[in-house]
Amino acid sequence: MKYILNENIALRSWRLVPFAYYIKGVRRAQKLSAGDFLLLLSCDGKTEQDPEQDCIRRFSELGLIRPAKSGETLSDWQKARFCDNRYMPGVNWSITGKCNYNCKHCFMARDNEKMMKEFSWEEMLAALDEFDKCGIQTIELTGGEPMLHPHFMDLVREISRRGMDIDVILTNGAFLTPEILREIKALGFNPLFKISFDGLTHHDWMRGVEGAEQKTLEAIDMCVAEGARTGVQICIHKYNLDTLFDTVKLIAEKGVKWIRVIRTSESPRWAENAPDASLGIEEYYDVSIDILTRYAKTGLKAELILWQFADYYPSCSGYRFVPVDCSGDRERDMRRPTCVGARGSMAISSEGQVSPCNQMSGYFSKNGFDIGNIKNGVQPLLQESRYMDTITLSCGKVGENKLCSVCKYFGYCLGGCRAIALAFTNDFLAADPSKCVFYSKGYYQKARKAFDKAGEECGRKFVCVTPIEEFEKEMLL
Amino acid sequence: MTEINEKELEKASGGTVYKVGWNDICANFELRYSSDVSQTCSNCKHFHAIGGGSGRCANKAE
Repeated sequence: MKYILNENIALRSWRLVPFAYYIKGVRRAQKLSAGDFLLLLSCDGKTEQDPEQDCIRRFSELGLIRPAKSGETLSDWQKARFCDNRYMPGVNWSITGKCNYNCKHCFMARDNEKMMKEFSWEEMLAALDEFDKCGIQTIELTGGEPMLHPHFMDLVREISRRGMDIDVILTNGAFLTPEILREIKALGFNPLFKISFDGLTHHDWMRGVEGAEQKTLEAIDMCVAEGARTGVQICIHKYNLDTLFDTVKLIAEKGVKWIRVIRTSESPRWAENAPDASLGIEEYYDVSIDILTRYAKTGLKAELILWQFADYYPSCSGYRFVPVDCSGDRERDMRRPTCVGARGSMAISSEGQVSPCNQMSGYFSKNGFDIGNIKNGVQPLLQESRYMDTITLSCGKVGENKLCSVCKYFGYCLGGCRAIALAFTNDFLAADPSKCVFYSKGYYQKARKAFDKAGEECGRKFVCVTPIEEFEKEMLL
Repeated sequence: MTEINEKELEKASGGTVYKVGWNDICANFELRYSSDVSQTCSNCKHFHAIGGGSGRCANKAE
């Protein structure tokens, strides 16, 4: 009998990961043994197989293969691709620097002409060819405002035609229509629409456009009504705290699945437009604890993420501290990259420059840091390159700085976020000061106590999913 | 388990099989530490953000 890979399975091979497959819709590749890879290579609709073979039965049960119909062949996307580069599952691609809004904190605002570059259609196609060649499967589209690009939907269709995936679209929502949402769905995508909304009564001010608040709230409603995965990102600062809780509550009540609150950081443009408006680290943590615990008591179902501090998961009434969980697992392998996000997603600016993440792209651009440009080819960046050296920077290397090398909590935070360290210290290898504050000012204990108190008040128990034994014992005393 | 037929693999890959410089640990390492900043747990479909963290699903706390 002849077998063929299921339509959602594609075989891939990279340097260091020679035998793997993608499942469509799942970002990370799955590892195979050499033998299994070889067998799956022959599930091409042409080769005769013994259906009684153990691995044929196993792969059928796993949904990787099925009996082939007569004349059936693999699509180009499914066929094994041998990529002469390191593994990279996705890109975070700013296709345009243009934006219809004029945000006070964003370096890609409407009046910042320097950042107005964008990919031409030909450059987009060339980039997709490169992604294909390198085995990159998942694309996160961002801007500027990505939907402002005249070829936005052409690009979405082209990505679909190639069998690649779009898992996130970051947008201000101004150009979303039900027709666009439906077409994206019909093309086989189910991306998370991350819509920026900076607070009731404050959004217009922050975005520099009258009527932006109303338009954004309508876009959120439209996404939810169309069944799109909808998330909202809120930038907080001293001026919008008064409506923060009401904003979070309203958005969660609208049926949004995911809300992320981000501290507006000290970018040059923000400092110019709103001096003294940034929250200090401690202020941000205090606000975070207040919002998280008040929100947890509401019983609303959206996940609430306080960027780089803590996440609350209503489905299990659990919360996770980011400064405790940076290590990800308890093995604390010091060879691991300092940020798995940066290692797994190539951040690409509207000019094609790459950086570890978009939080850092403004800093890289302002300071003229150049670690590569995809317009000169993606594959060289994923071989031996400054870019690859940067994103595989090990935790052990960060741990050599003078603060981390003597800190007993380094095993938890692993030096913290490189973007925050860079913003505060101008040093890529320095300790992230926000993580130092978390430990030195007792924010683990403060937040734990606040969640316990919130639980007592609403008759529920909130579970810390990132416990630190030492602190737990201390709190019992 | 099918025996590894290196010649067949070489043929399929057009001669580009990376036999040098990798082993099982390398492959695990590359895949394990290449998460995205946000994703859906493939086991339970629970949506979660990991923001530089582990990719561990909080549902496992249950």
